[in-house]
Amino acid sequence: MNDSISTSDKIRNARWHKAVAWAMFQVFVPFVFVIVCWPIAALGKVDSAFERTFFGADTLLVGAMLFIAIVIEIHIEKNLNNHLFKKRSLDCYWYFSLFFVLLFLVFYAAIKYKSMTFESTSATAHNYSDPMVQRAVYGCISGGILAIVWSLAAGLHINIIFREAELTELEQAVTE
Amino acid sequence: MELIYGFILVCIIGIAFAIAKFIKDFRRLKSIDVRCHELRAKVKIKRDLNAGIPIRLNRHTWAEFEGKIQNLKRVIVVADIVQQPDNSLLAAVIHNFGREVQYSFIVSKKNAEAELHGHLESFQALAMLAIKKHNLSKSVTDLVSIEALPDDWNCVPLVFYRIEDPGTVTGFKTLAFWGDKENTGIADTYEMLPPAVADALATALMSGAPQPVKEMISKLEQDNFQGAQLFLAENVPTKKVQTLTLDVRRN
Repeated sequence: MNDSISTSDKIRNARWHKAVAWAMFQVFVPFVFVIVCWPIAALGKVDSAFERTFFGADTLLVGAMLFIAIVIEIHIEKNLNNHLFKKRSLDCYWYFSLFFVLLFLVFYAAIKYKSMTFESTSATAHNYSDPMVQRAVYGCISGGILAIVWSLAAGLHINIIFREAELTELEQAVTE
Repeated sequence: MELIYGFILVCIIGIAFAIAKFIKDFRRLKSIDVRCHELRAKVKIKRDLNAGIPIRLNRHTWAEFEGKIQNLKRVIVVADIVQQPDNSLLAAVIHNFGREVQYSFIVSKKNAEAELHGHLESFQALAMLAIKKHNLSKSVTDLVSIEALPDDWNCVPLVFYRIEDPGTVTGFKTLAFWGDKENTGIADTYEMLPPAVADALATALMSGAPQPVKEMISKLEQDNFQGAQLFLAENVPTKKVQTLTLDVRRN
């Protein structure tokens, strides 16, 4: 009889696997799918592959969805483990994520509209070196980076709260 | 569209904030991990002790345990041969020499002569290093010694730890462990011995032993043998601790 993996070990392992799966399939994979269009288009000798990839503002849409996921995740965890999530630091993640959802959706709509009108007006030769396009492209890239870094930081912070709770439980078990 | 500058600025500030939080939390997570690891081992030992399961230390946890014993003054190893410590045990021995812990080996009669020029020399070299490094007033022979038993020790190695304890009559207490491998100097795993068994073993070892061995063991015999349970719970190794499972005990 070997019970080396206790219930708390199983919970910890499950939480870790959930965090890894979340980072992999909700954070990295969607962005990889967006970004991978750039080298593919470049290999296919498409003009201005970089600008065409990011001017569509897909990174902002994926980022907004990621922020929504963070908001929901924090909300669920708070409801499930009310006693653990009393810290204001998590509220900071929640409010800022909500703010970023709105911000990203507004800018997604604006840039998407610009991108569609841009492509429909000058049908033959699109000038992707236009400063407006460049600004929008770098806006989309910085938005994408923010969504990735922010979601990883929020995920780690939630993990920290659980680990601190475990630490407290262990300290109590030792002193009992 | 000029608002995009503001958006980029907000993104950059957000990225900087998130990275700073991530680094801070990552460091905190590492320290929590280490602390949790230690506490989990403590809780496990406590649970095993409460359940009456004997504690068995593997080579790594053994080394960590040996290096962590507070007020350790002497280590007496009764074994067939002297064996060279490696990896973590080597580090523990070096650490112990640095705090003037004496290592005494009592080996089989047939191996005693050979051991003088064998692995004992590596212990002496380690002692010499520690003396030079820490400017100790002791000599190598003070820190490392070897004696021969009147007979051959075809058994598992025994290890006695003499620990200074002003609360006892002799000023020392002794913890005893035995290994799991016959005719070796260092076993794969060690299990603590109950005080009564350890005391009986020390008495048996003294019978017919040469004078130097008698002197060494008689000191042990006068000591208050202690069960290592509480001691282990206090000085718990942080690495994985093995315990005997019910199946092993049945065998």
